[in-house]
Amino acid sequence: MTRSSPQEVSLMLRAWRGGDKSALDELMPLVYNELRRLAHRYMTKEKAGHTLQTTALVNEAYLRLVNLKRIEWQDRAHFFAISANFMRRILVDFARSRGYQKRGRDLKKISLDESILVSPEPGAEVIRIDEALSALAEFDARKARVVELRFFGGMTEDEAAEVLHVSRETVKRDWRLARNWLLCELTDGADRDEPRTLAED
Amino acid sequence: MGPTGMNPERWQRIESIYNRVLELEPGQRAAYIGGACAGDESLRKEVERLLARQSEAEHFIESPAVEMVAQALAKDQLPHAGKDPAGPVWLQSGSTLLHYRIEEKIGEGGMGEVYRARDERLSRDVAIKSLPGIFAHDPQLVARFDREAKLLASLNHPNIAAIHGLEESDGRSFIVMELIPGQTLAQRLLKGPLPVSDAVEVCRQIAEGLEAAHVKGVIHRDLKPGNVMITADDKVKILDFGLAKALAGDSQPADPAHSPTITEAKSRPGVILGTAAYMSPEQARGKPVDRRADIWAFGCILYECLTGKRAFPGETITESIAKILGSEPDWALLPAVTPLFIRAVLRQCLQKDPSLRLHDIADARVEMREELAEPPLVIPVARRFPLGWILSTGAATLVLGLVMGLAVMRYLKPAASPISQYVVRTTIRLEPGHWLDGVRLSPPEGFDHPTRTAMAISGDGRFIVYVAVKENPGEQDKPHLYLRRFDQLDAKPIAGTEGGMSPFLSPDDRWVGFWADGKLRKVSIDGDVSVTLCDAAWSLGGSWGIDGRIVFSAHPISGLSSVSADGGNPETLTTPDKTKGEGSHRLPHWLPDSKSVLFTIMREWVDSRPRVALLDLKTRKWSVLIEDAADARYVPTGHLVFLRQGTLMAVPFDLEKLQLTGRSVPTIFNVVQALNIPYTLHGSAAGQFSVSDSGCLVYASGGIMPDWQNSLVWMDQKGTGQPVASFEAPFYASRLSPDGQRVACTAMGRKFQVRVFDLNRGTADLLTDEGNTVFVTWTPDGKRVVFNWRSDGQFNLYWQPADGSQPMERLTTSGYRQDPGSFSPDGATLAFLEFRPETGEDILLLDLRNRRVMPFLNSRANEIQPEFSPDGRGMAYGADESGRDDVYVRPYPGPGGKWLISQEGGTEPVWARNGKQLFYRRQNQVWEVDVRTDTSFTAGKPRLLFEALRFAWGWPSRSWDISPDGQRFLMVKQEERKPQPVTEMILVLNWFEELRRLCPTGK
Repeated sequence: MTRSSPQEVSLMLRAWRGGDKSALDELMPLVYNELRRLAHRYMTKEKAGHTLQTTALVNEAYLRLVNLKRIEWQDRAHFFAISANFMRRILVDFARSRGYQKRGRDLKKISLDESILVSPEPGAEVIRIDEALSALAEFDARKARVVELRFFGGMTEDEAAEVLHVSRETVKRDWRLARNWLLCELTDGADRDEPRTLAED
Repeated sequence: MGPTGMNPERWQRIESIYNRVLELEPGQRAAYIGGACAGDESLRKEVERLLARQSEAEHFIESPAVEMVAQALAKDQLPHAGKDPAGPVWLQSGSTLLHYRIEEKIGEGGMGEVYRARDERLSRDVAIKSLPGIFAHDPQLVARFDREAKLLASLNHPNIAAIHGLEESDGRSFIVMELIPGQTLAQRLLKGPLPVSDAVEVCRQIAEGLEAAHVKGVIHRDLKPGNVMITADDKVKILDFGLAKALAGDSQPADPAHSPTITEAKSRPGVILGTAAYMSPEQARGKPVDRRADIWAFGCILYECLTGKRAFPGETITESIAKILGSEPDWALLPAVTPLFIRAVLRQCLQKDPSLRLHDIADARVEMREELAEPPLVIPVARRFPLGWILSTGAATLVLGLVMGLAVMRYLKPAASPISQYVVRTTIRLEPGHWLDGVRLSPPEGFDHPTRTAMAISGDGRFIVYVAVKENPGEQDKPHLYLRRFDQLDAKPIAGTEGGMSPFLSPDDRWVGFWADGKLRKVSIDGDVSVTLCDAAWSLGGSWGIDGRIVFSAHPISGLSSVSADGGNPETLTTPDKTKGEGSHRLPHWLPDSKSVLFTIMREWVDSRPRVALLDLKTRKWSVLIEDAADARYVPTGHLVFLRQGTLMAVPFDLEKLQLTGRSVPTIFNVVQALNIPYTLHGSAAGQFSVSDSGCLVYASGGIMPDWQNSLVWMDQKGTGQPVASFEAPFYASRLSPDGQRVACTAMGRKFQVRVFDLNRGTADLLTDEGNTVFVTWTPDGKRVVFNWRSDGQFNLYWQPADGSQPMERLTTSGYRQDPGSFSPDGATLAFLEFRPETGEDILLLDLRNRRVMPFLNSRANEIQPEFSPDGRGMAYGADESGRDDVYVRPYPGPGGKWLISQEGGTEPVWARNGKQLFYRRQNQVWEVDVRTDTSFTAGKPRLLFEALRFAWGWPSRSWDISPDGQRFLMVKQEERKPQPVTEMILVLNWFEELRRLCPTGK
């Protein structure tokens, strides 16, 4: 595993953020519109569609960015990495702006019954995953990246493996442990104000 | 969040134990954990805590974050989730006045008797058709019929007999129609066939009428020569449009014997039951009917005009239906001088499978007009062939190992040609449960058609490689490449092609190039060897040249690249020239000499009218060859074949001079093409066809993505709807003019438009026809409409006189997206919306006197849908500051507090004109609130008026409106798309024979 790749990406992200914020600004309405479109589907009880739509969204967002900034990323991995991070920020910001966080804290436990595929407080859950992910990144950056790519970026295992320059098997294992840890964090920590960590046990 | 205190080393120990445990059998796990964590109780606890929830975690965050957030948003808006509102009931009772003087009986039609009559009130002669007695006893039927009749009455076209209306007297209903002196086509055909030019002219007029009706969403359903009038001056008028549906109601006839046509025959004993002869196969099977049923009937009429004989004759219904379902018309009866275009149209109309049939009557009409305008391009039939020439289905199956029926072209090449050169059409079904694949767009936006070319036929025409995926695939279901040899009965997956798509073959047919996982790859046909060639993020077409170079496009904003077929670093061949409006180069195809490349230019990443260009590899220069064309390929007959709006066109091409040498002609209608799709990822313009050097064509039928067919309706306070516009279009947002006489409505389809309907005159003026536009509103004087618009830049506000007498004029300039809201009653101030990333949607005010913009509400929450109260002293708007969309009212211009109007959420407020009620929407519901603004503002308790499914919702502006009397709501009902995945391809053997005839090259 090369540690340099995520660092490069974050460098680029920093340059991108610092260089011209308006590019990101241009993209947010796009993502918001997509959110509303998806939300409308849920409301009208239509089939929600599969990940392709999400990937398409990321691609659209990315392309508009490229056009605006006339940047030509040669590396597809960078594209994916940046897109996923971008989606994470926008989605979490959006969820926060809707006040989901506050309501999420009232939860006693997040139901994860297999038969219930829709989380009772999906907005709050996304914010809490984001927070837990930041905690995870402090002691295992790669697993946090895997979750970012898969969950926020909507990428497949293969795509995540390509971005991180690791094997698919590694991504599989990282994903398995990371989501297991996140689940424990979110449910066991939900009774308190702050998510609990393993080390507190 | 603060530091976790987790130590990376400790975490690594947890991870290694965790992973090891999960490889063990459950029975061995406890012992292993005990050993591995010996002496470290807290480590053991941590591992066990994780493992306890391991299986549960398999389902954790299964759906991506974007879907979870969207679900959260949906929950906000759905306080009564789970409630299933009933669909709208369409009811409208009719009213009557009898002022017709009956003169004489002039005929008996499908539904009843027809009389000539005088409309005393309007002083005109009319035809009156009585309706069956059942109408006397069923007011609901009358009401439904009345609604239908009103829609039909809007069909104002010279080739359609006008319906004036439905009347009732003494409990009997009757239709009042235009009186047309003349004879029916059926009467005319009793004298024998029409001369070819007359037949084409009559049918052209029929096609014009059909087109006008189909555009408005009206299907005839009972088209036959008896329903076509020819006047003394040779004008053609179609009778009884849509009456079949009006009589049958919304239910489809399950039994063909219930069609009005046949009911008529049954009621008159002794009459030959021949009128089933124009019924399409799907009608005969009792299946749902669409406009393609009319196209079938049109084909029958065209055939009958040319031959004087019915296409599917029969003495009884059973006999007719058997012929319709099982036999081809006797093509030999067509006059030898029948133009080839007409033959092609006829064949397309009489395809038994509606998905293979001509989809749009406009295509036939265009052909016929061209045919009449130009000297006929007729190649005499050289010989007639005995019946033995028609292969039986069984023989075809034996010989070709193929599945379905076929049609045989009887005309041969004029020059001496081998006797085996007949054209054979047959279908190739995918393996059961498979869909043709390649970046499909699923419902409700799409039909699950692939958007990348999913098939490649070998040069010798002996096999095809295609891409398929399991039906209704989930995320884990990847497509594969399949090899189908035509001497075999089934297709086999090619090893090592998981996730593969966009296949193209090497010149020697031994390799397949394809995309998988962001790479360009190749695999040997037998699947033994698989090689990655280079990175190629997007699959936008590849072509393998004879010199071992592959030219491809891998990015929707880049040009063409080439790479050695042995792999290596790609070389950039072209870069789109932005100064010439080029956004993307894609879908490359080599010319045979490997010195030039045909490719497609898109203006942006998506483009509804792409162009085909030719690149000279030596000079690296390119020039446009064909406008409104995509995915062009050279075929050895000396043609370029390409797609234009889903029609496979051919044009003669001189390979030495690299020039077009003739006009382009349509050869196959309705080929699947990824056009008219507003998403970068999907709108590739690629077509589903492939041509072998040996002369075979393989393609998939289905056409381009059609525009949405939404309808503009009035909903009353009980939720009963009635159409406003007599036709469907990709309507989106509508606003009523201040006088209530006109409607401005936006449409978003192949074209983005603003239309203004005059409700009294029934006209629809088009204001904008280019660029993009989303929302529209009226000035209080009713003279202008304001809308947001853009061509290349950002959405800003423009206005234009509502009668279109002047071009649009820009009102604002901003780098942020803007949407119009509403005007203050004095017309001096326009409240509108602007999206800023820091503050979301904000409400701004534009002073029309000096064009200055001032902020009104710009908190971090979204403030949307500003609506001035009728007295101008308040503003209703939507905001999500509580975490949910709610409706508020504030004093205008302020200062002052705000009142929450909606309960449990609401959006899109609209004031009653008297200012005493506010209406708003909460998803599928419409709510009403009493308000008082005279002394101080007070609002009552909201009341639910009705629920209605699948209506457009507006964000950030309002999509609906209310009538001046406050009794009706103007809304847009949205079309719902169902999946129509491609499960079969059509193979045309010896297609070059047909191509040479349809488009002679002069060679």
